[in-house]
Amino acid sequence: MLVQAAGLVKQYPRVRALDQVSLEIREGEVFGLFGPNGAGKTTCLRVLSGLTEPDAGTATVCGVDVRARPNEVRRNLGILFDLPFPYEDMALGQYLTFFARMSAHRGAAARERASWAMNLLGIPHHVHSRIGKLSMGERQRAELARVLMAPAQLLLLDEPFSNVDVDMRIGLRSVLREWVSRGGAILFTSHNLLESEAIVDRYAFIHLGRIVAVGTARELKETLLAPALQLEVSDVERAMAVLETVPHQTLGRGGPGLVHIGLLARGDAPKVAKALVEAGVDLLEMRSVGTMEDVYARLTRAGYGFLAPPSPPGGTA
Amino acid sequence: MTDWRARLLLIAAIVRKDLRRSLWPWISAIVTATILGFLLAPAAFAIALPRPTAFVWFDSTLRAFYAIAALLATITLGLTFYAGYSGEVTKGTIRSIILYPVDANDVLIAKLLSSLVLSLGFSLILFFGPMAAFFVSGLYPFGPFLAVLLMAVLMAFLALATGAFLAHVLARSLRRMVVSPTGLGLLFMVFAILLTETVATQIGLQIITMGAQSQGRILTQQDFLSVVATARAISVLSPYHLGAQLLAGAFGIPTGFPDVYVVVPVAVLVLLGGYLLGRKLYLDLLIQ
Repeated sequence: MLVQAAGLVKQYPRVRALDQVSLEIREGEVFGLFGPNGAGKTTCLRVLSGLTEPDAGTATVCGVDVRARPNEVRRNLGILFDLPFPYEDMALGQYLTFFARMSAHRGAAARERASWAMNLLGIPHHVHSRIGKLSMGERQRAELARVLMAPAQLLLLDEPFSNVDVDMRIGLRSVLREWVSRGGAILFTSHNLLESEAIVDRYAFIHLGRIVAVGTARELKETLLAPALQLEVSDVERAMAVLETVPHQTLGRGGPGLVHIGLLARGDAPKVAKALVEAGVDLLEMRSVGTMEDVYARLTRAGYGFLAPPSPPGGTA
Repeated sequence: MTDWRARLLLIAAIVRKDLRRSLWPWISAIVTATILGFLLAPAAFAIALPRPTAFVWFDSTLRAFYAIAALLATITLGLTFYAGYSGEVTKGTIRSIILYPVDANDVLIAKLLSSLVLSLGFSLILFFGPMAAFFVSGLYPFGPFLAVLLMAVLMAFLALATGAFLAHVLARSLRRMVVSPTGLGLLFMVFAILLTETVATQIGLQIITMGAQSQGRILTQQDFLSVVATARAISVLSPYHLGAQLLAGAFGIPTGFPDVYVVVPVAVLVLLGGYLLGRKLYLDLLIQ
């Protein structure tokens, strides 16, 4: 277990940023921490990286007790916060060589590591460019290069793909996947839940400093979403008539050749396929519907109030 | 890799980065020193050529040159430390450094060391550049002047480091950075100058002169002597006073045993306490 945190509390003068937060992150997994702005994601990363003192609770990161040795913890971490403040007057090569030295690479090895990172992120042609002259996307790549040079077991990545183009996102996902496959782990935060499904293994949703749901995408969808299917069929009219006989919550057209059915139970899916085939309707494709954004929305409706407007003074929303 | 060696390497990496920043301050210092050097050169050669004499140190010459060196050291060390430490905190670039396994002491020590090296460089240029002709002509001896400058820089550094580490003590005790290492360090450097015998005497005389004028009387010999005695007594608090005594001893000016009993114990105590408490500081104190 790379991260074991239990009962973390962080109280600021006006807000309780962390309220009994407990987390476990295993080797070889990408763990996503999601929640609205101000939910406590960044505070959680800061506490786990030993930058902020928790008021209560315990946390062990890569075998190091965060409260006992807060500055030692970062020896095993690669950290990217969502708002980087790079040295804008430094050339990219100089910048990355400096941070390669900060990551325990010495002499020529530091320069080699910086070159490796620039090549990995597709920015070797900017080696002599000042950071301040780079575009936002290139700066983000520079920051990711900085993080990936660290001899880390755990990466803490806060919005790592912001400002990065699609090609690079796809490339980065495979880089991070390969990195995780070698035994590391990633604690990942983002506001982009749809994209996260391509990389995150387990999710935690945090709101007002509390973890409100934890699990894999499958577990969360099964727990929180009503089972629903999207079917591509040869004859929509006949399919609709047949599906009326199957127990369901909702039934409707989803576009040309598409039918959408909300089931009462996840185990009813085979009944749908069987009914259609027996009625002679060609079933071209059947897939489960429901994204992590739906999970997020479901949590909202469940009363966590992620998207609810603030209560008016003296009343309730 | 042992812990202390890993930390030294991190400190060295930060110092190296700080020393490789902009060339403009160096160019400015060299241009300033060169212009002043050309302006003063005729005076140096006019004195030196007809009647070359050996330079002799006595109390008032030491005070004058030591005062110039102390002011120069205070200004250069103050500016370089402010730019290096507070500059990074204000711009936010310190956030990148603290993502690595450094503690507050490592950051502070690295910034102090890089300021010391830069300050030495600027002070050497600005102290010796304008007076270059005096050394070339043989009017002034280079070695003792270098000793004066180095002592001034060392004492300014002692004041700065003591103030900066005291900020760590306060931050740990109060759990927030009530005053930054830069603020307290600069305050200590200014007080180190104000508490020297010369400056304290001048300030004291101004105060009692104003007092005497308001009472409609003139200053007496007794007033003057009491101010001098008071200034001498409080000057033991200034590192510059200690430095001047050490230099005077080295140059053969009788001063008695240096007043080490205040500055040295206080500095050691604060530096040690600041270091030990600084290890326990959480680095989000540096995030504005």
